[in-house]
Amino acid sequence: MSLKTIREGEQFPSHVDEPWDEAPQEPPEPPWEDVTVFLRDATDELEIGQLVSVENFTLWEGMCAIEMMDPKMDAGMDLPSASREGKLRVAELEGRKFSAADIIGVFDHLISLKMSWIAGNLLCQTLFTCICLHDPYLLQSTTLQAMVIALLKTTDLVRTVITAAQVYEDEDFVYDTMGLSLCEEIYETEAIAGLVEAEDLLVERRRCLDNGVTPVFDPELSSLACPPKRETELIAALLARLRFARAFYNAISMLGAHDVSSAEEWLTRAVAQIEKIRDTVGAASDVGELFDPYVTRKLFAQMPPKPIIEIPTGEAMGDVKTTLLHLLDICHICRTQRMVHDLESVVRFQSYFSGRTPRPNVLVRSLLRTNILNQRGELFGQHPLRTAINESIWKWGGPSGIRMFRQYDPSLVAEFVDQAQIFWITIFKMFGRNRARQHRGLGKVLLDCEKLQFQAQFLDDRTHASARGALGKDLTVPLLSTWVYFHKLNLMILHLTLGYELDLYSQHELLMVTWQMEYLLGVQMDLLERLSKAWTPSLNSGNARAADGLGVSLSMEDLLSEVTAKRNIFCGLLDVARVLRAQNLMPSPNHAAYNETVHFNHRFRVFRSLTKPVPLEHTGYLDAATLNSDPAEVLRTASEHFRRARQAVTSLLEMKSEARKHVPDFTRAWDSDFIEDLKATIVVCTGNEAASIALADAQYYPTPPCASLVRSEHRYIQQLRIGA
Amino acid sequence: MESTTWRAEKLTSLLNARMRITISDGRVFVGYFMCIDRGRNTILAAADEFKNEERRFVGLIMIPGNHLVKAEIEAVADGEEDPYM
Repeated sequence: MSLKTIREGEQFPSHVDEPWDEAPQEPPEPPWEDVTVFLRDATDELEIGQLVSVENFTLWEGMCAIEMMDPKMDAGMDLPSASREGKLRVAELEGRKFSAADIIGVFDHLISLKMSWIAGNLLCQTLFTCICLHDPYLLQSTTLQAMVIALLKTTDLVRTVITAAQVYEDEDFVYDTMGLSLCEEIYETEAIAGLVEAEDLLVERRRCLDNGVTPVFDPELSSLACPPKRETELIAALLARLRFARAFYNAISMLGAHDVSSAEEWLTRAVAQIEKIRDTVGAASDVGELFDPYVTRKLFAQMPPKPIIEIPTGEAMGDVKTTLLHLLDICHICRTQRMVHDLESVVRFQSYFSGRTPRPNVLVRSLLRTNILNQRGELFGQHPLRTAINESIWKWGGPSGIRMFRQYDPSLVAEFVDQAQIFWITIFKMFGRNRARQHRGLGKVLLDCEKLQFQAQFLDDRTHASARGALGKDLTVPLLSTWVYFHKLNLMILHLTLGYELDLYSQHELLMVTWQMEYLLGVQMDLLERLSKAWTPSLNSGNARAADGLGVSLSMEDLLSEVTAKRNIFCGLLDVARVLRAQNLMPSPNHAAYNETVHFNHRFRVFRSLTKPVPLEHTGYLDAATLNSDPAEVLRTASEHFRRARQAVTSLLEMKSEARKHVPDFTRAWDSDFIEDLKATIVVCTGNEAASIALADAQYYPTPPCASLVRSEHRYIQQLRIGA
Repeated sequence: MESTTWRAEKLTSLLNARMRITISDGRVFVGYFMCIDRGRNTILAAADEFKNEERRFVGLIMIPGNHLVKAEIEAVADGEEDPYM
């Protein structure tokens, strides 16, 4: 029995094709007087820039107006590609027959529209430009009907999942359906049963074809109108689409319910089917008459001005596969959570994962968010965040961390951990947002971190005072405040690196940002060195490395090596930038309105509200930016910095690669992004090392060559490029 | 100089009146006249768009002067006198 029969007679709300004469009766129009010529003459008399406007109507109000005939703002504008000529109306669906090629065409186009919707466009401008979605019960083909209803149910599910995670912004996702029906009246089981029924029919038909048996007549199979020579191919293409629809729905549903094993199984199936779909895209027929960008035109008024963006089918299939692989990675890390659930590893994974290219879309970010930290404040739904915080602090203190931690007043520590928990929840939520929002959100997070650091400092001072009184000596490390300080420095560095990623920095400010990066990495390196020395030397190597059994966590030694390498890179970049600035290759804007001090303070305004590390001043920057020695010598020093960094990163990569040899493939999701980052760092360091030497040699030419710093191989580490 | 004054005054008197504007792609907008500049870029408030036989609310819109084909103003009701005509 088809879904059409189940729901026959039910009214499906329609927002389209309401005849003009059914609209509410308007009062008769008043007579109109033509003022076109008058307007032309009157406006010719105005001065340039002069506005004739009603009282209190300012330029601000004027800027809020939607500009007509601008394709980016005017959703009702006539586009040549969106002509309504030859388009089918919803009511005409009832008599329309759909061949197998038509169904393939509709499904593939719907996949493109769906990815466009997930990319932040409106339902009415994407999926609901397909008239089949406006009344699926009118469709004669049970195969297409099952696909369309499953797609609507998936859309509803995706909407629920994204809403639950609360990590989306207006630019990521539009929650509003504008009253369009997503088949809420149909149960999930019914939608799945429709897909299974259609699949069974096709499987049976294929079996008959394989065995050379004449099948029993079926009106649905007959309406598919498959040419005998292509019947097997078309049936296989339809089966791939039906199976994909089911696998995708189930995968999202399972992952939303935190059933990771089932989700992984369905995702693997979906990946296999999307490959088959990509191979059979060519089997589709032209179904342009079923897609009308203006079918929901009346709803355009309720939406923000956005252009209609359609993703090409090939690109959309690629996006679907990327989404599925990202979701599989989420399943993999959730599966290994028993072995790895320490705070640092989870945050490190989230930080690298959200910086992936192509970027994880809002659906992936939402599912990552809900699966990593649930509403009860448990990592992976099993490990209380409080416990993870406590363990993180113990480990921070090294082998004697637990002993040191026990010297603190338990009630005050509990209060501190409560505050730290709120802070970390904010961090986890922040990593679920898009990169631009992360950059913006870090300003507030850093202020919260500052408060937490004050609280930690108070506890450290108090505990140290009592220890001095009882033991006659200080504790080796101010445990809590250094722990907070380390994470604060990480966030400050992230704030700067996000600026590179988002292309916020102009060439002329690269020097000041590089100087700031070098400073922060230097502070972090000093902190780690101090802490490392405080640990018992014999216990200070590599023990934490194997602590999780997968080699995911970094030991203090590895952490120090990573930070030192990064600092070397930015020391080298600082030297290079100094030379480029001295040779006027990174000139500051040369106009009266530009003030470098104001620019400097504005660029680092987030850091200026923090007390520790001490904010850098513009006067210091002027000293740091000045080139006091021979440019060739400075460039050779830079090359040396890059060489040291490359060596350190290479050993880190070798250590990680060695650790990965002994773990199952699915556990590699934990640090695959980190490893890719290390590889990209080596490429950039190698390039910069050679380019610095080349530029140093070229300093003796009569005219030194043109050079610039560009971002190409790495997310944020600049590469020195010689030549125009 | 005198003609400049009466045109400017009349233009100001048209503000807040209902205006009907036809643009280059055939659409018609009816809304309250809010603002205009030398380039005939016109802002209408609470505007409705009419296209073929469909109508939709579009709110505050700016019609670029180069797309403005025809502008009409709601005629003064019978019994009222237009001081400029």
